[in-house]
Amino acid sequence: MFESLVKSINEAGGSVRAYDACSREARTRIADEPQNAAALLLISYATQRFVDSYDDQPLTVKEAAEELDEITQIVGILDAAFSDGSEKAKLDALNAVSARLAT
Amino acid sequence: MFSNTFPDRELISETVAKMLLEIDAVHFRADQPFTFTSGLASPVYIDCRKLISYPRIRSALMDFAASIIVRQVGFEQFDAVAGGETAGIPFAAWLSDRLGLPMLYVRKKPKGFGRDAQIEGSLKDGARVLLVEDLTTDGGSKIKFGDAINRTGATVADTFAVFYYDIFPDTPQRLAEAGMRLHYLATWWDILKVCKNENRLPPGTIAEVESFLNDPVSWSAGNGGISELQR
Repeated sequence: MFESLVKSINEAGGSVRAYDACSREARTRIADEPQNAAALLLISYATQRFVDSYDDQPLTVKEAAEELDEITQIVGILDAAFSDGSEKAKLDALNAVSARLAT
Repeated sequence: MFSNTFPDRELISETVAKMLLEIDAVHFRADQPFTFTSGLASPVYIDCRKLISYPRIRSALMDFAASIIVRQVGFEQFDAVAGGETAGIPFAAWLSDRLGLPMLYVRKKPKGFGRDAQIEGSLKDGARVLLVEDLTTDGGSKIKFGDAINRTGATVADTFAVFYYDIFPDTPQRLAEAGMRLHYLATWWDILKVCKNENRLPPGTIAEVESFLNDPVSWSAGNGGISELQR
């Protein structure tokens, strides 16, 4: 469901441009998938946060891998809940990811 | 205004390379590579933003920049100097002062509304603008900033960067297709030359850097970065 968003980042080597494209794609999908709007908005927010932090800034390959692992986990949580989860599971996933992004 | 002296081009590049090394703006790290915005892994990174904290160096740099611009383009070819957000802004301010021209800056994203939503400052229709950034890698950001300026009715035919990576052979062509000529003070090859002449780096590091500069995509692929540039 949402895994393709992370796949594109992975294929582009975790580049800032790939995160930017992912953020835009997630926002664009909201119009077609209103039932997934909250999850897509969080993914867009998380990836845009990466862009804002590292655009024009040095980032080691190791740090880039850690950041990619984090976004992969976030998308994984949302994907699992929104693919076939209950309404409670979706709400729990949204809250868990929001709390993670707030730190 | 600048001093209207025109140092030899090679001397400018060598001096700028030495300045960047002197203030530790050049970083070499083959064992813990950097990731560029494009996803390319690199053993080298340059932080031109450090220059703003060194008044004597930045003053000389802007004299060099003015001399290169008037020599390569002309004295009366621009109506304004525009800095690209963020790192280009201070250099645009100093260079516009040297050239006696109005200054403005271009945002990465529009703010507000209208065709000037990415521009801060006063820009007249048809103005000939010199676009300034701190550095150029593949020219992507310059094309975006240039497009934003062109949308206002002004034109960007020339762009200046303190430092040009000079590792992607198609960068000048990309910029030319966007209607821009690139001007710069120094490249990685100038840094490498100074490092070799002054024995500033161990031979192993020099070899690694040279390997990257000669074939950045292959070096990246072998060190955790992308194996193909996406444009």
